[in-house]
Parts: sequence; C-alpha cells; structure tokens
Amino acid sequence: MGLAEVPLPRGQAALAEAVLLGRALLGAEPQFLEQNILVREAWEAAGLPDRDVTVRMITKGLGPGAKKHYICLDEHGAGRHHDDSYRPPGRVRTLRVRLGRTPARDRFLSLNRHLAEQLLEAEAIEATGGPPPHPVALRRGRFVANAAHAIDHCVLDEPHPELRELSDQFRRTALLSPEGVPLSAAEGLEGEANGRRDEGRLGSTAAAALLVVARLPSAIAAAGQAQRVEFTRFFSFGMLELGVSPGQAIYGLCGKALREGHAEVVFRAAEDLLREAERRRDTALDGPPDRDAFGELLFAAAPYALAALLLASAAADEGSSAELAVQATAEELFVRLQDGLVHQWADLGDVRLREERRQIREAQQRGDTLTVNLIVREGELGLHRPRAVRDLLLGKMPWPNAEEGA
Amino acid sequence: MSTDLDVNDAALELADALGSDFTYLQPPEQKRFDPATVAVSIGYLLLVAAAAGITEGVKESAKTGTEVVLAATATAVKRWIRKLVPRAFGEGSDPSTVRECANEAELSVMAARQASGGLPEDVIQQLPETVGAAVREGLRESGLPDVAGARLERTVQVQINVIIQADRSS
Repeated sequence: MGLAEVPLPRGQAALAEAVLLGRALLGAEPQFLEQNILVREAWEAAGLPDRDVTVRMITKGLGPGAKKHYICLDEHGAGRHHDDSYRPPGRVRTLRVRLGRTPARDRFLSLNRHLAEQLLEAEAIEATGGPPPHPVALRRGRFVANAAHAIDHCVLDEPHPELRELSDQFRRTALLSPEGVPLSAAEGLEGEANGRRDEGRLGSTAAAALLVVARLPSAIAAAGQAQRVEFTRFFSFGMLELGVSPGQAIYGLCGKALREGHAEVVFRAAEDLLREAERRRDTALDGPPDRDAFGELLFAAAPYALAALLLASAAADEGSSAELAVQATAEELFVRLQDGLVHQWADLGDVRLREERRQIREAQQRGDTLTVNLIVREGELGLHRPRAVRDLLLGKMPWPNAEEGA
Repeated sequence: MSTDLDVNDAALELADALGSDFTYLQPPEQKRFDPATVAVSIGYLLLVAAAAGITEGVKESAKTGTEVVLAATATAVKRWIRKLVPRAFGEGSDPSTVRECANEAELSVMAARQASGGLPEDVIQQLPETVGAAVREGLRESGLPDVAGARLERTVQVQINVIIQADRSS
C-alpha cells in the first residue's frame, strides 16, 4: 500500500504523527524522505525481497538523465551500495524508480490542515467558557504549522526568509556600530539557530548556516591577535551573506576564511561542530525510551552534523587524512541522523520494533546470542532507538501493552 | 566463571564504548550500512589486540627481565591494533566473520591469562592501566578522537582487570 492510501489519524494521534513527520521532512532536504518512500513503494510493488538480493537501482527525477547504482543486501539484511561502475557478482534485479511525487509532504500538509481545524474548534470551545487547549499541544501544533512553511525553504542556494530577517536585523542594528560586534553575538546567533529549529522554523541547511556564521568567526578570532576586529570582520560578512541564501553564507564565509589562510581554523571549527553533534547524538542514545524525546534530540543534532560536514568538505580540499576522516564521519552521522528521524515517523506504530523483538526471541530460543547482540546494536548504531529500549527487546521488562507482538 | 561469557561480555562492552565512533577508523571512501557487525567485530578485535599484546609483552620480559613487561606489552598492543583494526572494514563483514573474531578473541584471552599467570602481583595490578593507555594511543594513531579514546580506555581497563583477575581468583 502506498503512503497516499494510508488513512490519516485524527486528534492527538494526528498531532503525534505530524510532529515526527515534520522532523523527518526538515531533517535534511525533504527530497531525502520522499525518495526514501518512493524507493520503498517501488521495491514492494516489484515484489523484491528485503534480504539476499542485488538490485540495480535506476532513479529518474524531473531533469534529464537517470542516476544508477547497485544495492546489495545479504541474507542478514545488511549490505552496501556500489556505484554503477562496479557490477556486483551474481544475479542482479533491476528496479526503476520515478521521482517527483511528494507523498510525505502531501500527507504532512493534510495533517497540518486537520490540526489547524482542531485548533479553531478548541479556541471556539475556550471562547464559550470551556477549558483552554493544553500548552504542550499548542507548542507542538505551532511546530507543525511552522514546519509546513519551513519545508518550502530547505534548498541550500535559495533565499530563506528567517535568515534574511536575521540578516536585515543585523544590518539595521549592529553593522555600523563603532565598537564593532561583541563576541557574545555568536552565542546569540547559535541560540537563534537552536530556538528557531526547536520551533520548526528551520530546516537543517538553514540552521547549519546560522551555526557556521556563529562558530567560524569566533574560532578565527580566538586564533588571532585583534580578536574583536577579526570577529567583527568575519561575523559581519557572514551575517550579510545569510541574507542571500544558506549556501552563500556557508561557502562564502568558508571561502573567505580559506583565502585568508585560516584552513586549519576551518577544520577545527568543523571538528568542534562534529563533537557537538556527537554529544547530542549520545544524549539521545542515553535518553529515556520515548520516541518523541529521542526524535527531538536527533532533530537538534542534525544541523551540527551538517555544518561540520560542509566545513570539513571545504577544508578537506586541502586534503589531509584527518580532514577526510572528519568529513566522512560527519557525512555518516548526518545520514544516520536523517535515517533516525525518518524511522521515528515510519515506525510510529512500533511494527518494526515488534518484529525485532520477535527475531530476538527466536534467536534467544535457539541460544544464538550473537544474533541477539547484533540486532540490539544495529538499531542503536542506526539511531533507530535509544539504549533504554534494550531491556524491552531482550524481554527483561514487560512490553508496554500485553500483546508483545506474540 | 565461564571464559566464553567473559570474552563475549568484554567484547560487547568495548563495542558499546566505541559506539558509532568506529567511523573515524573506517577508510573514508567506505560507506557501510551494517554498523553493528563492524562495531562488534572491532570489540572482539580490540580484545585480541589487548590479549595478544599481553602475551607478547610477557614473552619479551622472559628474555629481558620483568621490569620491561609493561613497556613491551604497550608496544605490542599498539602494533596489534594497527594490524587488526583494518580487518573490521574488510570485505564480507557479516555474522560469520564476527564469529571468527569471537573465536580468535577467546583463544587470545586464554593465552594471555596463561602467560600472565606467573607475573608478580604489582605488575598484574598495573596491566589494565598499561593496556588501556596503549589501546587509546593505538586508536588515536588510527584517527580516533580523544573523547572516544578516553571512554574506550576506561572500558579496556575494567575488562582487562576482569579477565586477568578472574583467572587468578578461580
């Protein structure tokens, strides 16, 4: 069944799904999620198995040409990608996927419309003396409504209204200050990035641009002599570039830093951003067994990983192995964070979690502890669930409701 | 206490301590979507490196005197790490290769227990710290950041202590 045929939930269930779907859409470019869904739907329609199969995937978007690569899944469901230049041995099936449809966006906007109607009803009830809407529900509803706008502004090289607003505000208030820009402005900008992200107003690319403009000038200033002057010069440059597009702010500022001989500082800033993304990831993994709380922390980590990736990519043009390792790690983390966000939405009904519990129980019954340990860790390292779910999967604590997928 | 259980528990503790940070050790051009097999393989291989390093260090000290056992162990552990870590990223990292690593770890740990059995108590007491620091240093040379290295060092110390002391108390 395609996503379009899945019935929409109502009320609280609609709010829960909309928040998770909004985070999944804003985790990266929304196209990541759409492509994920379209591939999955085509895979199922073609009757391809989930294991022990090699598939040559041909994806065709709106533009000319098609992207081709191989995906090889082994008998355990693990596997790897190969580009089209390497044909894996054995039987190869072909899967053609036509991109361009936006099933996730369509569903999210439908949920948002439903929630807007619900809010009107709740306000009408309050106006006639009834109870006010719950503040947590209101906050989550605002996140969804904001995200419904933000998903239209996730492209790296297109103007972003929130960034333009911050840029204009800076131009009016701080740009021409004779004292220069205070170093604390960087902290303020990072606060804006996290606050607006938390409210659903920024996709990962826009939030990453704010983080780069906040972090890189501070790092350059800290490495040099005339700290306030250097900070003002780079921070002002970055703030003005934010008015153009997220990509312009990131690559413009980074290019300026590299041209002025700060390659080492750019790399260190990338490392710092990556450490922060890793810290947030670890906090999520060590958190409670709560899908929403886990997803919220992954959502907050993603812009840091993306900012690290973009800075490291620029610095890696210089080419040391340490720089390449940071770039590869940031890329891998960002992809896993996106995948983790998508998973929170896709497994809202715990179907996959129950399937994992079933596989673990079977492995436990035949004394296969290695398989048990691999399944447990696959979900954690893939950022599908926090470590606190481990006892549930291992049968050490009871399933929240009696069924347990038995 | 079962040797097999000690080794598996120790390897899983190491795998969990390393967590997703194994990507720093991965060849940059490689993209994997079987993180658990890689992480658990590395857990076992780190145990092999630690145990084989102890065995080698003890053998070396038999030739040159017990005062060099700790330094010789540290050098050997780092050499084993350089040799073993790339194996986790080789072709065909699946449950069967994890089982091979597990068998290798079990043999290495047994050999290390045997080799360290006759060491003086003060040397035994210092072994976990020496091996932990050597693992951290070896992995740092392979690209692991210090935050992750420090976490792993503490776990190695605990696990080596369990492995060595378990044998002496049994």
